Amino acid sequence: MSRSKKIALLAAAVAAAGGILFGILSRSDEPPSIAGFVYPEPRAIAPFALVNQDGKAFDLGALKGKWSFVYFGYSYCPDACPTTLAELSRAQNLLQSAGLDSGTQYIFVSVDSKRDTPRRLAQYVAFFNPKFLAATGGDDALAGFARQVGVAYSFPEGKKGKTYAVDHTSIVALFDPDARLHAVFTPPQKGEEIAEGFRKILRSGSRRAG
Amino acid sequence: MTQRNLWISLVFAIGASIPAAASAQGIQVADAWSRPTPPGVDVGVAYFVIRNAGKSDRLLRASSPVAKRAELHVSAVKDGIMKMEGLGSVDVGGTPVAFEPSGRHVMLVGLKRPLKEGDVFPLTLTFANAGPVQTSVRVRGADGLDKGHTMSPSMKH
Repeated sequence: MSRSKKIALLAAAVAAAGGILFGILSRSDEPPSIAGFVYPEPRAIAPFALVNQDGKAFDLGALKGKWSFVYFGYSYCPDACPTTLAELSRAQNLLQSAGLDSGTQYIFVSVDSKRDTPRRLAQYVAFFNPKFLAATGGDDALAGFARQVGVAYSFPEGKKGKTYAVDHTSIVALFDPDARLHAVFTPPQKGEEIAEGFRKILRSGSRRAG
Repeated sequence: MTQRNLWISLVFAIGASIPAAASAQGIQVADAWSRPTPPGVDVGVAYFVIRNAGKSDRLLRASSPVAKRAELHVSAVKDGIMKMEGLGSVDVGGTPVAFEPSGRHVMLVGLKRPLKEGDVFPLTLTFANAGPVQTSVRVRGADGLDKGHTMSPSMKH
């Protein structure tokens, strides 16, 4: 082989090795794949003021210190909400069995504060899982929080009586212990997938910190 | 027991005696199930599978003595938003038509009493050709599983 060809070959080999190394390094920084998506960078959200199921303040501080799974819906929802809350409860059970539950909390935010009072919500969420919390608030406060999470909802025109349905984005949002939006689990959510996705997120976080 | 409670109990008892898979003119409604209702909630849901071995038909409406009204609905995610829409009718041809979570479902409005895990109640589906087909709906656990298979320890009451 001629000298120039050897040099070319060596250069190519070095480039290839460098490329592979780069690929390995960047792959470990890629967000893990989950049944939904992980934000490349966790997103800080602006303060909001809701009330929890005990009528006490539920704000940004309430999301700090724990990983929070947040689902938006309403109690008069016959299908999507009971289905998703049942799956979220299943996820909590799985995480508890895996010893990953102590730093987590689960919050159902009702977009229907007209019908869903804190007291009603307290009974509603406890039914799905005794660990579940709930929150709601006036339209302005609610809209502000929901919008930042990427949740839209709307009431039918001229809603009256007690049986109207509310269209709503049916995601489960995951906030990290710094109250930053970290990931979203998209419908149809399954308990096993939420638990598995959360484990991947925890694992990738510890790798990044190391 | 008040007369109303007695009547409601009777409805559930009758429900338990109806065969789980009912059929008429080739239409078979099977695997009907529901969820327990949380305290204070008077809307419920019913899911099932319709199989049609006969000529094409259409599901027109539903009814149940456990609720004031039973409506046909479908949940669907459009542009990321979960919407629930009423269905005027549902075509039932050769392929099984599933009413299942996050999809088509019967919404029970104005439940006369909460649905509890283990309850069985009657549901009538009325078809354009086959007419009314009655089935019995089993109320599963809150996690959608049948009694005895729940993940969390369940306390019988």
